[in-house]
Amino acid sequence: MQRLIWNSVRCVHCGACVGQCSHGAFLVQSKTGETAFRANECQACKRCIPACSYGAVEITTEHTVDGNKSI
Amino acid sequence: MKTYQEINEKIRKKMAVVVTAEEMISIVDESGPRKAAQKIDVVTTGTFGPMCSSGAILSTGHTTPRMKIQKAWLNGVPAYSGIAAVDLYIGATEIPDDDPANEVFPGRFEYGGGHVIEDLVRGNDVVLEAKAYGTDCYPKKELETLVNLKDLNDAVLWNPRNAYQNYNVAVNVGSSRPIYTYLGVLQPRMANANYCSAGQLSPLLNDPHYRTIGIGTRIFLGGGVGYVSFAGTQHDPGGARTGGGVPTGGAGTLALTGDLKGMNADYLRGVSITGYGVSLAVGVGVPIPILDEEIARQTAVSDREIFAPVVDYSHDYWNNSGEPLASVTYEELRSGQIEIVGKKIKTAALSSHVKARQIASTLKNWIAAGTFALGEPVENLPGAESGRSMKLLAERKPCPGSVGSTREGGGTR
Ligand code: SF4
Ligand code: SF4
Repeated sequence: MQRLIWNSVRCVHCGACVGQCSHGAFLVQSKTGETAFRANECQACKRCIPACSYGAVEITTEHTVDGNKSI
Repeated sequence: MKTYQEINEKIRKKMAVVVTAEEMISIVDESGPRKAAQKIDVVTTGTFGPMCSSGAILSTGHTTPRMKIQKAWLNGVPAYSGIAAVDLYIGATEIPDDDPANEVFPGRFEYGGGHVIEDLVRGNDVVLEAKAYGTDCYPKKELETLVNLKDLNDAVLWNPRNAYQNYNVAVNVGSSRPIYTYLGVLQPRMANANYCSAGQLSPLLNDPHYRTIGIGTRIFLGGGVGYVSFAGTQHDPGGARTGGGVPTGGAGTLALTGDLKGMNADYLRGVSITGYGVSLAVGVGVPIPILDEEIARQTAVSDREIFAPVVDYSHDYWNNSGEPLASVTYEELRSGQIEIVGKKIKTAALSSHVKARQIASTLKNWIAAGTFALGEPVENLPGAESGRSMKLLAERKPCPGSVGSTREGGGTR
């Protein structure tokens, strides 16, 4: 399975990813203007990855218990 | 009317009243510009986003034996060395010689000049490789060493063009695939629109006629202290403006300089723009002294009064053609959606409003604490009255003897 990892330390809260995500996984918090990531909503479509210039999102492939990749 | 000297005296005594450009909006709204000008001494601005025309001058110290560097690389990224023996300029958008760039489209551009600058500011060792032809006074021909910011004799951020007064909003009208631009990824059929400005917090939008921001203005630069050193390249003050004087397109820019050793990687970040290249995100904050009522009024400009042109990057931008598709306010842009010819389009920024706010409030704290005095410009930036405007390059084919040159043969061969 592929999963998106959001690195909140690298994130500068520009919101460029929000403009690409049609699943509501990335959103701008109205109070603070900060970007938030809701992992449960993410479909791992990867559309936000090329949009992030700050290296704050990456896709990982999770491994099964026996060590084989399950893509 | 106040003077720089009076305001600096109040700063020295920690009595200056300082607010951010966002706070100034409601102050002027409630008390009017005249009272606000009496009450407020300084308004701080801030912006943070990719600013390609950036770089750093590094003076490494002489090797033994001495070397007149002819070609140099920092972590594999070429640095310009046609200056003097051991002075180098690392440009933010430079990429390693072996980067595949856009050969595998869209290129990822994982590392480049902007990242070298971030690594230096983070205190990381950086590999310096250099070559030279060797002279009687500089015989060394090859160099490979680690360098660290703290050991360099000089390291100065030297940015020819930062802090654009205003900027385009980019959309993709005509291409059936996503296009990869310096304003980010633009999906087909205007599915999204990207912008890059701090709007009401942006330095030059709060001083639209450059009354206080000029050569010598002391500023927040990359987390440290810097200066406005000149009008930025492509400074273009003569474009259209609103009734309030706010430019409705690019307009002014700033050349900025500051000691890299005092800067902070939170406000200087290497960026990788997919399909486009690398750059440096720079944090800039400019203090505006409230010398009179007019300046108070201008620093209260709000997102709803600032307009940006929507431009088609699938054709019109690169072809220098067409007219903007629409003009939208930063209030609309920041709401997450704009409407163009009946179509609702999702908006997003490449600049960070969160960081811009942090910068304006950090600068406010420095001034209120008496540690940051205002620099009075020694010269103003050219305004609309200068007649200065930007031209396109008229390409002319060179032929032997057609140009005068100090190079034998007329500069062509
Ligand atoms: S694009 Fe990247 S840096 Fe910008 S908000 Fe999204 S994750 Fe953060
Ligand atoms: S991978 Fe797709 S669904 Fe997940 S956050 Fe990115 S754009 Fe949204």
